[in-house]
Amino acid sequence: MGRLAWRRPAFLKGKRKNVDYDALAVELRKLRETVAGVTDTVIAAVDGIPIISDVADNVDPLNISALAAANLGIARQAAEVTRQGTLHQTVVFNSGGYMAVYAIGRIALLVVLGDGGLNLGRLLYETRSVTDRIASILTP
Amino acid sequence: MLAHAVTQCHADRINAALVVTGDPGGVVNFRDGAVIAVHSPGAPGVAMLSATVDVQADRVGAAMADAAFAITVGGISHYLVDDTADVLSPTSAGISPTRLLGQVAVRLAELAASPCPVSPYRERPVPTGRGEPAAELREIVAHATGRRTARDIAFAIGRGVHSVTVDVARLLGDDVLALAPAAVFTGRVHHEAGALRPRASPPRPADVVPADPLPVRRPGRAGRGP
Repeated sequence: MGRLAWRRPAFLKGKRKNVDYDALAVELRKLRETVAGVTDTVIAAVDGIPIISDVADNVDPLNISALAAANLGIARQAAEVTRQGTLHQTVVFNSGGYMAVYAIGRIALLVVLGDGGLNLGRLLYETRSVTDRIASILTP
Repeated sequence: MLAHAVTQCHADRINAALVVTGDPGGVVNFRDGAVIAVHSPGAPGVAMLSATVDVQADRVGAAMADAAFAITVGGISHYLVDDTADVLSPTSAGISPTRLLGQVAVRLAELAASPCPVSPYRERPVPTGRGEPAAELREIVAHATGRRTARDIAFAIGRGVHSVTVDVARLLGDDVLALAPAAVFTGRVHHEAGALRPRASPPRPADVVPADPLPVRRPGRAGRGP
């Protein structure tokens, strides 16, 4: 695998650290290989602009990122209005699969698409450490 | 390991779920010692199996055997009996564990005897472009993108994971499919994101230097009014 170019996403403008895209790619690949049923993954900034994606040809990471940001925004409002603490994730259950969106602090989000056999329990377990690591890669 | 656990559950005539932890793992539901349902993230359930393919008289039984195959062909780390789980309404009269294990053994043997046995969960095949697949296997080749495992293809086309894995093994043997190299990142970095900048905070009014300043009135210099 060639070294991926280093560049700063918009939300990190003005901060000192560059993003290690290779490290993000490793996290996405490991997640897809570890959890049965994960089909596509995207990391996007909280405004819905994709940072890195690992998706099939028929999935548009721009659309998915924008939808995930809107989804997370609504869910975050709901968490605040109901005073139930900090939002961690939302999961959309469909007849043929799942779309899970994880908050990565207040700066970014992780989208995981899965087929109908997605092992949700395993995904929940694995993503706790994955989102922590992604947060530390993205922030100085 | 699974055989021992299932046989013991049958002997104890339990009404509970045998939760198998592993990769992919699964759950075997017992009622009165008979297996009434098997679920695994490794195999499509009855509802997901396409009605037009794999038509068999006993689709429920076939899906159960397929799920049991999916559990045994993967890794099993441990198992436990959970009698607090909701007892599922039986989708069939239930089958004896001995019969289920027999069906699983046949499936495992069939995969092991194939020309190129692969794991349904690890290897990701891609078309080689050489050789023409048989008509009924074209769908599998079309879905082999190098991102999907045999299990993923089974879910995508709504067929049993066992039959798809055996077909993939056959296609690998016929040089129609090849294994995609492992540990390759198939995604992409979105550099266009870097082109977008956060909204710059507006400069403070004091710092504003108008390019074309308006005339300033000074006392005593006012011109005559009309």
